[in-house]
Amino acid sequence: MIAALALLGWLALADAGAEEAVPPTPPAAPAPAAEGTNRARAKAEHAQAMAALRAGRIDDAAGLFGQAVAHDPSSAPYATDWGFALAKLGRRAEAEAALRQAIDKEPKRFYAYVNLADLLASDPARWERRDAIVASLEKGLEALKDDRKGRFNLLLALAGFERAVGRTVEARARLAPLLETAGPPLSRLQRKRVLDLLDGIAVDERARSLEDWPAPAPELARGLRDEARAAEGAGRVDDAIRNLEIAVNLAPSDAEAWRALGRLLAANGGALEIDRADDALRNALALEPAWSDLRELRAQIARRRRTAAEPAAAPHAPPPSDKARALYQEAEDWIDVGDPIGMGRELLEQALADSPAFVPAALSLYALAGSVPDPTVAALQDDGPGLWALASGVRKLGAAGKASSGDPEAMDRLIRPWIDRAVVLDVQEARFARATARAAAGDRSGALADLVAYLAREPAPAHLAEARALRSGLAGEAGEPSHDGRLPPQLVARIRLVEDRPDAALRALGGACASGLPAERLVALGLVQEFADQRSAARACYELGAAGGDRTALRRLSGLDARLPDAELQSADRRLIDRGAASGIGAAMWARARLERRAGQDDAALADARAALAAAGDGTPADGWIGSARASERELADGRRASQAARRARQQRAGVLAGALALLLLLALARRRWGGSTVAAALRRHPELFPEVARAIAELRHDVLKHRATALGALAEPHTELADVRRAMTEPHPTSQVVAGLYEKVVQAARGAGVTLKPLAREPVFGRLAADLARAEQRLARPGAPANTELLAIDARLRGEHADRLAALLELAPRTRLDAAVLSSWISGVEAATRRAGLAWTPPGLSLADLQLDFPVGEAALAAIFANLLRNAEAAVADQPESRVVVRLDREQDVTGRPLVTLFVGDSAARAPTLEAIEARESGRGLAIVRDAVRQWRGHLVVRAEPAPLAKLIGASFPS
Amino acid sequence: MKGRRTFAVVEDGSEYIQRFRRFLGESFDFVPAGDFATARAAAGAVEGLLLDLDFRRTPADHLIDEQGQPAAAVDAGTRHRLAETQGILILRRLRAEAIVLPAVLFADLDDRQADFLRRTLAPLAIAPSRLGLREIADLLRAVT
Repeated sequence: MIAALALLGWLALADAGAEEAVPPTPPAAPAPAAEGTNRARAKAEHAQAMAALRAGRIDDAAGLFGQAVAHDPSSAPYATDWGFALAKLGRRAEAEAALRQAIDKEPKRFYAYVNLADLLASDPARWERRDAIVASLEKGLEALKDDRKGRFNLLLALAGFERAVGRTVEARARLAPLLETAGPPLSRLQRKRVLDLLDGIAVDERARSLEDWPAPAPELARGLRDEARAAEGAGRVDDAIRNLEIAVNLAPSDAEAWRALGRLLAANGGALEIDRADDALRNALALEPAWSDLRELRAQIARRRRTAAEPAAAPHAPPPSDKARALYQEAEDWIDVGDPIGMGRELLEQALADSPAFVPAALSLYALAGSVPDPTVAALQDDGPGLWALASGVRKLGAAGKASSGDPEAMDRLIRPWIDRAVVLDVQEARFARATARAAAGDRSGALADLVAYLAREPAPAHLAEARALRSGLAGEAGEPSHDGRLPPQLVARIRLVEDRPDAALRALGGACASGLPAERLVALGLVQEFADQRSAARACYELGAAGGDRTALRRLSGLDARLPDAELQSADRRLIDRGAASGIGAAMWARARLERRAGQDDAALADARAALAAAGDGTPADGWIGSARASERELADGRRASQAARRARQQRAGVLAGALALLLLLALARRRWGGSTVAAALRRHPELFPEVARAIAELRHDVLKHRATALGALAEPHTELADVRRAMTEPHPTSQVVAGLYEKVVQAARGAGVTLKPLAREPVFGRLAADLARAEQRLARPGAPANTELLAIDARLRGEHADRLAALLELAPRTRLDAAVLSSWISGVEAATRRAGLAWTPPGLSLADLQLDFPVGEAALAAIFANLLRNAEAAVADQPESRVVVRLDREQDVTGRPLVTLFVGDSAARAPTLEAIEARESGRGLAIVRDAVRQWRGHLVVRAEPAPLAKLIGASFPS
Repeated sequence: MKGRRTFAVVEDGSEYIQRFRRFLGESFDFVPAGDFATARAAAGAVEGLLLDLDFRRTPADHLIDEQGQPAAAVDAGTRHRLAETQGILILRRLRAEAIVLPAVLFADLDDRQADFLRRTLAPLAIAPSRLGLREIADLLRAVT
């Protein structure tokens, strides 16, 4: 029979229309004929129908099947096949009627049951009819209790129907005994069918559990997640878990909620919650494999039973009074016997008059009278459970045909306000019932709103699986992908990951990554590889996706790169890392920062690390690199600060050194510019410099002032040739240079005495003189008429202040005053030295013309002159008897009018040296020294004969 | 008004005479005299004598000593001593020979020596080195 052949393909062809099961319209009634003839014709028509069906001409097949039924109405197989064909054509109501006729004709034949179950599994009205359908199919099972094969097939069909209405638990419970060893043995094929169906049910449950509910479910989930976080912070862990359970039901793709739930359960749950915690963590990891910390948690999770607070007790109407209860009981007794005199109804009305909110009484009255008293409805207005009990009871009565009024629409109009009010009063069952009613009425958005509200109300609602299945059906009706056995590969992969089967997930996605695959598939494969901790394989997938420009792949790749070990990161595609960084992906910036740091580019690494942290903000738990980035940023920043500090220290040291050098240079320049002594100061401290200074001044007066600079004064005369003046001032050498040369001699002499004189420009006598001369020379050198006034002013200064300054310097000539005391002291010194040398000593006599005389000679020089003269005299008389030595001071005036002072030492030795001998250094070393010293001080030696007992005087004479 | 005056410039070089001729030549004539002998020879043809003091560049045999005698074979010290006052010694010898031409001695002397010389070798003017050409011209006019 074709029904068996079509079992597996039926669901795919089922229509979604909701129709009443009406009897099919058979073809034209057969003409009266012999029963055998009709059966023969029916048989032929059935054969033709089968051929048409095989040829895909279903319409023809349905017509021929109908003719066969018309010619042989007693044939259950013909009716079954007719129903099948009608179902394939989408004529659901006719198909159902045909199949039910087949069942009626032959109740122990299973084909019609199976086809009917399959037909109803796709019936849009199955949600409303599910209880009745299951009940009728269970009758079929009873009818087939002796047909093992038929019972098996119907059992699978019934489980399939239950799967279709979300009763997966019941379906699984129905199938499980088939696999028990104690049960009847199954063929391999049968066993496979059971296992396939169980797997399908599991996938359904998974798929439904992973689909997000529509808005406002995601917002509600996020709100609940936030509340959970707050509750956890406040120590209300159970409330946090409760909120998270609801959140994951509302938004199963909310990885954060799964993570938080698993973490909370693992940390706070007891042993009984291990499975739930692990499930939550697997869901979290399936969504975000990068959460490696969750893997560790999976080993230590514990489960804690939720002790969610029950919803606040809704207000209830006052319970029925004892009187009302008694009246109700009496009424039921009358009703049980058929209420022959109407007492049951009267007693019920009395009971309700006493206690209007007495729901059982109201239901009984509805069963009898088809109405509910208004006071009852009013009394239950704020009693949600009571109102729902009334509404559900009325609906069951109506559905069961017990009510007086058989009009379903009238019943629906009656109970709808009550259900709405019960929903307002937060009755979950009412909410779910309204959702199913709305779904049946085609109000998709209303149904989904109710379902979302239903799930949002408690963590484990009684109809969770049914709600998921109903949602799936609603999605399918809206043209979205629905459960049709062909789930998207990504969803299947996610399911397999939740099952901890990454290999199966990879197979679901088609295996390994390869170029040409869609980016979405590559990312999914990468996620699976990440889940399995296969980083290289994951990176290959992401790189393929990112290379194609997919931003999700680029983001995943960046996140993975950020977590790679250094060595592995080196082999990453740098271009993609740069692209990620350019796209503002923090993980890519961090990966690049690590590469740069490894390359020693610390500044670039620091900049990228900071940019990465800024881009990531607080990050998510998946951004496990943030901690490392922060630490690295601190290290790099510390290193930079240390480097900068070192550089600053070096710069400071260099600056200090440069400053010190500059200061030294300035000091040297200052010393050179402002240091040193003036000639006057040097003369005061070092009188021995006077002869050199006096010579320089004499030359300066004679050679510069007298013979050359006086030419400037001639400019006052009109006939003076300028060239003559210029020549006088500049030839053979400029007068300023002559002054500089003379001053340099003084400087050298001073240096020999350990004195540093000021530079010429700063020396107040020589410097100013040289400056004025140089100025005059410059004026004379300029073309055109010279500035006579200025030159004459210079001339005046030369002969005025400059001449005065030079004269003042000469006034500093040292004066050594000699008297008896000074000479005695000097004599004692010579005597001591002579005696120490073992030489003879003739005490000299003193012959002082005056008590004291001033010699224009430095004291040291004069003392040296005297000592040499005295030693020479002592030596001269050393071997003579009656020797005499005398020291004499004399003051006289020479023929030129110069006053002279002379220091004589006379002796009695006959031999007297001549000046020529002294000049030729033949008179003994002492006199040569005397001669040089005397000439140095502008004096001259005198050798004079003396009467006996002396023989001669040798003296040093100086102009005073 | 007198006519152009001629002066014998007695010096050991030519600085004075060149300077005077260059700048005072418009008003005066100058003839050179390198030592006592030439000075005495020129004395008859000039109106005055212009004497330098220091004759350090003059050979020793052209110098005269304090007694007016040639100082041919003197030691270096003596020659130095004679040279540094040679101008006075020449004028002193000229005066000894009754040559009383007005004389100007170019020297920086202290007042006491200057007074002494003006008194013993008159007519004599002392011209210090700070004296300008104009003052010298005035002095030359004045002494003659």
